[in-house]
Amino acid sequence: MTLGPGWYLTLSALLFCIGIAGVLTRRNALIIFMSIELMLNAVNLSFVTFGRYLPDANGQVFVFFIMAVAAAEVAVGLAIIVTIFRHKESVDIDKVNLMKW
Amino acid sequence: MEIILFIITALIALASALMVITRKSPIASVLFLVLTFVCIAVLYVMLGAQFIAAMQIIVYAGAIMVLFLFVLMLLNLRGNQGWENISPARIGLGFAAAGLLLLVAVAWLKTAGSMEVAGLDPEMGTVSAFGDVLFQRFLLPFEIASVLLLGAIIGVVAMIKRKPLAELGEDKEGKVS
Amino acid sequence: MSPASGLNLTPFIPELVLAGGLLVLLIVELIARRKRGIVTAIGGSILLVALVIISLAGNEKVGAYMFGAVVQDGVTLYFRVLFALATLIAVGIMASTFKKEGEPYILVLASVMGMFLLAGSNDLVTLFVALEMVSIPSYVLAGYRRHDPRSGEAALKYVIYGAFSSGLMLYGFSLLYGLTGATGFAEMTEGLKGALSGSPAHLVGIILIMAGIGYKIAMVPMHFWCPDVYEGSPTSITAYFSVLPKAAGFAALFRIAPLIASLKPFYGISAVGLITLLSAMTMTVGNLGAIWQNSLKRLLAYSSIAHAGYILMGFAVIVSGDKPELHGLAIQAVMMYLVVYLFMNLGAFLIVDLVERRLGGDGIGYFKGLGKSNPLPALALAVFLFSLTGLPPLAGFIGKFYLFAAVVKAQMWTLALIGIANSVVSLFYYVRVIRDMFLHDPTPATDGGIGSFNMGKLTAVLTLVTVVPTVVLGVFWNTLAEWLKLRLM
Repeated sequence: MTLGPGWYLTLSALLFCIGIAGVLTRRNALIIFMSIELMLNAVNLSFVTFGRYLPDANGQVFVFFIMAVAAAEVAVGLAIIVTIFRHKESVDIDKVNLMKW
Repeated sequence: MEIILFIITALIALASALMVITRKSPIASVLFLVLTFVCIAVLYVMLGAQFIAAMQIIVYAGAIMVLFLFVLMLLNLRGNQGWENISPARIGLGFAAAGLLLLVAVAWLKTAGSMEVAGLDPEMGTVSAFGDVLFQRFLLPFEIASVLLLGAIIGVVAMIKRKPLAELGEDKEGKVS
Repeated sequence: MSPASGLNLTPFIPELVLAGGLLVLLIVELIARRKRGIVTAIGGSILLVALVIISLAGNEKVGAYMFGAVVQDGVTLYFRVLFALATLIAVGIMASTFKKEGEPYILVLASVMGMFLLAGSNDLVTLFVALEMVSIPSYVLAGYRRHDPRSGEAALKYVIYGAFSSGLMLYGFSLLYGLTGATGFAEMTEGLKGALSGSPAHLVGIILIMAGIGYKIAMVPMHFWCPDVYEGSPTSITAYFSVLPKAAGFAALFRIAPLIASLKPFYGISAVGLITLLSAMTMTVGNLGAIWQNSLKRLLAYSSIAHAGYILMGFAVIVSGDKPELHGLAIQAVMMYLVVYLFMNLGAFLIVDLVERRLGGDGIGYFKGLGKSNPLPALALAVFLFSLTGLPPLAGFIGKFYLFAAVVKAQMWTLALIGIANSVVSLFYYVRVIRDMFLHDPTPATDGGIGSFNMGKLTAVLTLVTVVPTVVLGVFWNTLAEWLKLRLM
């Protein structure tokens, strides 16, 4: 057996699905954000894998941009969580439910 | 040898990813998330992406995780962490959706198996090769990203800054004339 | 392309003006805090300058720039004009709410800069970064009513859904990148015609990308955030949300349409079938949801979902792609509709914002008897709602006419029928509001609040700016149609 792209891509798909499961099942806003980070890391892994086996340098550059943007998104998201916490004393998104979904 | 390293790293990554979404305490989740990130960095090195591996440790395992921990400490959630009320239906739904996607994703790996596999280009992951692409072909997105980060900074400051209600400047004059 | 021609900055003058304006606004905000009007005035004039520059730029500099990261063509120009115009009106609406603070305007400028780049994006990386640049400031804007917990909730829902759907979209990007080995749209479209295009990965990739873009345009099933975010955000910001990020999503869809069109039928799922299904679902859910709403903001939120469905009808024709003349017709129809939608939807939110500021709420009760106490705003709102329904002789009718014409010419009868049935349903809830405004006396519950109020100079001007095109475009639409046709040449 040799280590081919399939191995990495399977791992990436698994991590992505664990991330999705986390977003859909957990109600703690912070853990939801962590699950989203998992999803983004799975995406990064698959970009790097494709970049390695194509081979093409653009995949790695894409990962670089995803990292930069994810950092900005997390910062904004956490700021929003902090402001909500000041109102509600909770990070449970069900308790923040004034409007129906 | 390489394959054994891959299997060990991948298993640790998967196990800790599962721990992230199943732990009660967000702090435990963060720590397992760091472990996942480190494993992925190892895989990046195996894929010949040294620069990205370094970024992974610095940006994700470093900066973003510190941000998470900082917010956790700031909110001091210890008092009311506890399990959220998650209905079994929701868990079922979540895992069913994820499983379905996984099924489709794995199905296509057959296609990926037929991909022509090129040899590892040892130069590709180095900083200089990376910089060549980043500052030529992707110069514009790079510049946009800087404005994006500026926008995010302004946004966060605007979000956190709190003013007394009276100063909010809502238009109340001429309400009924 | 040689590096020298790659670094040509002339096509980026509008973006540079916006970036410069953003910094100027930031400094002015720090120096002249709390001086009402200054920040708004400067923000408005920057946009005006950008608008003039784009309009003068014309169609001359067609081509790819910055090593193929962006492309300048008629569609780019059209969207830039659309964004600048809509932002100008939206900033005007915001000026009544945010009088002393500059941050909302800075965030809007950053977001609009992202939209400008999105309009010309020619590469997955540019598209992704520009799309996030539209989103990230929007998350903060949604939470801007800091004393209202609903606003924070809106921001939280917006950011969680936004980050989740951009994760989905990125996975789709990575699949398509893996299939084609390229990030430029032209190379990708070429690559997808190859042997791998019938693979499940292609279909999954397209579906995931549609999920990400669908979130921006509030397409079913990615629409859940929409009513809550629209209700919780400050009304003037909702006006902005309902038009600009949505139009930006459609600009992105324009750019990736060739990738979708390259999808070969797979287990009976074709590109046209996929978009048709999404379009039908989106308008049906939007219109049915709107019927039960008692808050005007929620009603307009569902109505904006429905309108995204109508616009997707045009995209169903665009991706069918076998006949070039149909293609052009559909693009023209979508472009027409977005222009019309801009005026009527911003106008409707303008009046809702006015009533909310003067009377204190956006529930339907506040609008009862408005026709008697304040005939002018009520009349304007009636015009907008009739136009949103698509009744002649208003602009909404022309927009819908072009869309339906494209769908019928492509012989998509089912979609056309669903669209018409939906328009009939929408008549029901729009007319209910109009009936309440004109045929009801003010109810006792709101009696204390409802009296005649003055509109304020700015609101009056903005009402005029939105009502006039809504009426005029319904009669003299030819100029616009011709201009759009020229852009597509």
